[in-house]
Amino acid sequence: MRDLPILAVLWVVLSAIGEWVIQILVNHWPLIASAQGEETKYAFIFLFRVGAVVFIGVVLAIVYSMIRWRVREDDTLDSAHQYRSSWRFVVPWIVVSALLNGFFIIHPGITGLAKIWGMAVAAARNPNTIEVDVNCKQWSWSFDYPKQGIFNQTTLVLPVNTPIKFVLHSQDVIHSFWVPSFGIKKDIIPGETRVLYVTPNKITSTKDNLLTRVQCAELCGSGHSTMRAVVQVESKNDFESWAQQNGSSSMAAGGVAGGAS
Amino acid sequence: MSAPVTYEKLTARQIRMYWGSFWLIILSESMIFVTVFAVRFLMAFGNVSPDANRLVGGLITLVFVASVVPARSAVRAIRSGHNDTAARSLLTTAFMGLLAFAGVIADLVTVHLDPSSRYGESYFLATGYHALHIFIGLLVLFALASSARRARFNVNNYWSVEAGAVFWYFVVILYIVLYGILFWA
Amino acid sequence: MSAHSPSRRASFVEIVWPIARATLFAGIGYAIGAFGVAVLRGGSWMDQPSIVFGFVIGLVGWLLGGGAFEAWVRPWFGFENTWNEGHGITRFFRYNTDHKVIGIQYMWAAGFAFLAAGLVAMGIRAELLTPQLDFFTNRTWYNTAVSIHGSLMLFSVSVVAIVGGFGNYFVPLMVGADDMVFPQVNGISWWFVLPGIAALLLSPLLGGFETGWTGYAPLATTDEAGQLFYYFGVFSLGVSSMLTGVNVIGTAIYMRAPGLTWNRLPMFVWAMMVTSVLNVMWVPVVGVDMMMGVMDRVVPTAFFGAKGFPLLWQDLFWLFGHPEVYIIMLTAWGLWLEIIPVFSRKTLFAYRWAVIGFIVIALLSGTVWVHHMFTAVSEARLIPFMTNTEVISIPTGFIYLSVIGTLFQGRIRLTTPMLFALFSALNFLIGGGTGIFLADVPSDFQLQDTFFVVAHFHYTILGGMIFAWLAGLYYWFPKFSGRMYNEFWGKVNAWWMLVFFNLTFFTMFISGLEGMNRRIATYLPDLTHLNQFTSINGFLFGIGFFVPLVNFLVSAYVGKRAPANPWGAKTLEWATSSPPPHGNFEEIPVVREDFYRYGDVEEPELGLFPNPIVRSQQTTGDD
Repeated sequence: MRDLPILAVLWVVLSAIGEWVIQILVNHWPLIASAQGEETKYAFIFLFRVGAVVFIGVVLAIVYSMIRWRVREDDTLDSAHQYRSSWRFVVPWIVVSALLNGFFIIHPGITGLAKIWGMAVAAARNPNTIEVDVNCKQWSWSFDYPKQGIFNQTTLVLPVNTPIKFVLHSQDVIHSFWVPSFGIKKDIIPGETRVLYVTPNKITSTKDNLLTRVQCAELCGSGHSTMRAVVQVESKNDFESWAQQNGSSSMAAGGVAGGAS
Repeated sequence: MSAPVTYEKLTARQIRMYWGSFWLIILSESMIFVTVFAVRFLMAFGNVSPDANRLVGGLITLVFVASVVPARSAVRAIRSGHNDTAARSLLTTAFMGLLAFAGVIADLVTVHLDPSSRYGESYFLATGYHALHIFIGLLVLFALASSARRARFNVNNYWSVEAGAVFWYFVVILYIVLYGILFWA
Repeated sequence: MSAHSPSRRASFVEIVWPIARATLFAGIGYAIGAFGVAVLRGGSWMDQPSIVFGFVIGLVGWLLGGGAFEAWVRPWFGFENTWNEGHGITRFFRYNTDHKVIGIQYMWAAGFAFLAAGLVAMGIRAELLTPQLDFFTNRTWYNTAVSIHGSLMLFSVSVVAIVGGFGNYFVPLMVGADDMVFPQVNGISWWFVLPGIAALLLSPLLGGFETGWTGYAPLATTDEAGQLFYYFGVFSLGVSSMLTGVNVIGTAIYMRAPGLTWNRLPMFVWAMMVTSVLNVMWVPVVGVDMMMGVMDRVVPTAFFGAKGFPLLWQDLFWLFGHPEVYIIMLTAWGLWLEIIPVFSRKTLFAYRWAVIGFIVIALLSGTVWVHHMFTAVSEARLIPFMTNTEVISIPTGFIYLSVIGTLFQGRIRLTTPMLFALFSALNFLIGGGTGIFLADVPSDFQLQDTFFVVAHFHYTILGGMIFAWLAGLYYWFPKFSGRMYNEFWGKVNAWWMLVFFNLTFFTMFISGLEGMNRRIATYLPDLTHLNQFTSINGFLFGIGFFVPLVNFLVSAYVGKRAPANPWGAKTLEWATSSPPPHGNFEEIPVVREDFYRYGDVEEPELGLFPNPIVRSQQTTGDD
């Protein structure tokens, strides 16, 4: 059977082309501006790279057959090759698919989660972590910085390379806190408190890139589309000056001492 | 135009088919109550409101259990072709069921439970769903009684009566379980 | 009550009076319920309790009017069934117990719902042509449109078109039976479909509903009253699924022709059986969820509010919802495995593994539901459900194993049904493959609730199931209409749809990664070009559906008469005339070998169980 070597070669060549295309896409990936976002982006790209090879293989098998063994529509002959099964095909297929799926569970599944949880645990113990209380309702966001004594902000200002602990509350229905360039989101359930740890690692803002915005990501009624907030990630010094300007004086002093590093 | 209709003889295969599919329906219905009782446990595990009336629930349970007796005698009667006896027994079952149903509705309407409380809402959900099934069971019993009276069944074809009776036992068993889960667990 | 009346043409009144009577009784029932309750409570007939009782009693009226009074209620009480099931075309507009009539009724209902939901989708894409609100007067109507589109598609098309339409028509034929186990139950099951569709389409009269097809509380508790019609519409459609499910399982178990062992059961029947088990088990769960939603609005209870468990709605919904998507896909896969061997003239490869795949998928389908909720649930639930979700892709792969093994070295005729089946397989590969990105929790944290998810499920459901539905329609059109469709326009249909479907939905993956979240009427200007591209291709894709519509409608009247077996297939439905006569077969067929064996295959049957019976020794009579 000449077909198998031909298929093998085609698979390798097309996969190489596919990986090259993926690399171009990776180079033009939408902005990711947080440490957690790096993890979620990595998970996606890893799965993309491996999955592409599998995908190309299956498409190739189907399309090659469609072309190679096509006959006229009024043909009435049975195929000359008939077999009910073939362990040489079935067994490797099942074994490889099981191994691949098992592998994905561990990496980037469990390893990715472990990293994200690890960052959360470290942030919880870190005295420099900034806590932001996110209060939302239909259809607006409000941010409090309890340690800095800043309340009812409608713009989310954050220092770069600092762990942020978002404490999420909803006053009415389910919403979801998402900053697309942070690469991670969490749903907000009324009557419960959720916590999301994010460490922004690039200086960016909604003005620079629309992906840096707060966007509600769970349908919450007619105002859902426009339930957004402006985000500004600044250098630590800029953040401190902002905090001092907006906070009450006694709290700001404490905030500055704690925030300077 | 209103001549009574009698069934032809059922083959063994048909009886197997009907029972097999009937149990599928019971399985499906049971999933409703698995869900409803799971919600009760999720909402208020181990919690029984003092406003829940165990006595009334207990009395209703007794009426239900007692109603099994005429149901069984109806099945025995129809197997030997005694249509009128069967019809009478089915009606007796139905009236006892009606009594229980009245008790359930009266309790639902008068109980001092807050429907927005955890126990209260699961109480109303479970009792309401069960009441719907009592209603269906009563319809079945009345219809079967009427058909039996009109000599529709015969010694070769009484599967509907057997199945109807089993559905009624299902309703009764569900109430016993409901009583235990809602009032005591 | 003959199925094919010789010469008499029915008058218009004769055709429509049962459905007109059903509508009338429905209206009267609704009025009794709504006004009755309003008077008792001292409220308005538009209040929620009135709506609830109005719908319930209206539904009873509808069922009675369509024929259930004469055919069900009278015999219950011992009186004669005086219902005339009609002849010729009049059969389709009334209560009828012939599974072939019921199958066609389901096909029309699904087709109508598809057209309605598709038009709504065109409206949604028209809105999304620009970043601002311009097509809909306000966002509530946009959200209602999204909700109606999704609800109709998921509840009244995807599970009705193949499972209800083809399932009812072809399962008895494929097992060699003359009808289903319970023709009466089958007949009434269809009558629950139209009220469901009507409730969803009429919900705007009550203000619409804004939750999307998923109905999440607590938004569902506080939004417009159209939500009640969502709850009851879904409930009614669910009853139909359950009743069909019981019938299919019973027919497949008890009514197989002599010689039709489990080893020889056709793939489509396996798929229907497994699907029906899922229906029978999980539809009641979502029914309870819907009723709890009603109670939260009307009583009001507090199941899903801040004092209760808001996530409970989602858990119960997805406990059903995930098996639901397998209910949608299993029969589509069954169709692939029916069609591909026929048009490859090659023995179906790895039949045993495909069947095992179906069964294992069904078993696992109830263990993965939390993957719809990864961003909402506690950490403890993430790894177990990610694991199960990844694992379920393994049996799903068995189906592709079978497809590839069958195609390899076949003699492939690229007719319209074959094109659609293969395109469906290719589309589903993208759909299922992108599911891996969503099954992986870290990746899902970014993608959840974005257009990436929208693309994923349109690739699986539209690209997978709808393409398979079209494959089945073209494949079986000769059988149920007795005529051949136009092959040229069929191919045009297939290629047009492949191209425009992919152009429309592929871009949604990109919009999702570019930060576009779901269910929004307006978006930020940087997404404009992507959305315009999507919308325009979407319109072109939508227009493409008129090609098969016209092809089928016209061919049904003027197409070439179809022989009994135009494709050279081997399953039993092809062993009788096109269309089959009343009672399906002149005499009950006896099965002597399996249906997927072509040419001189080297091994005897390779069914689920090693079967020593190879050829014609089956002697099972009517036991």
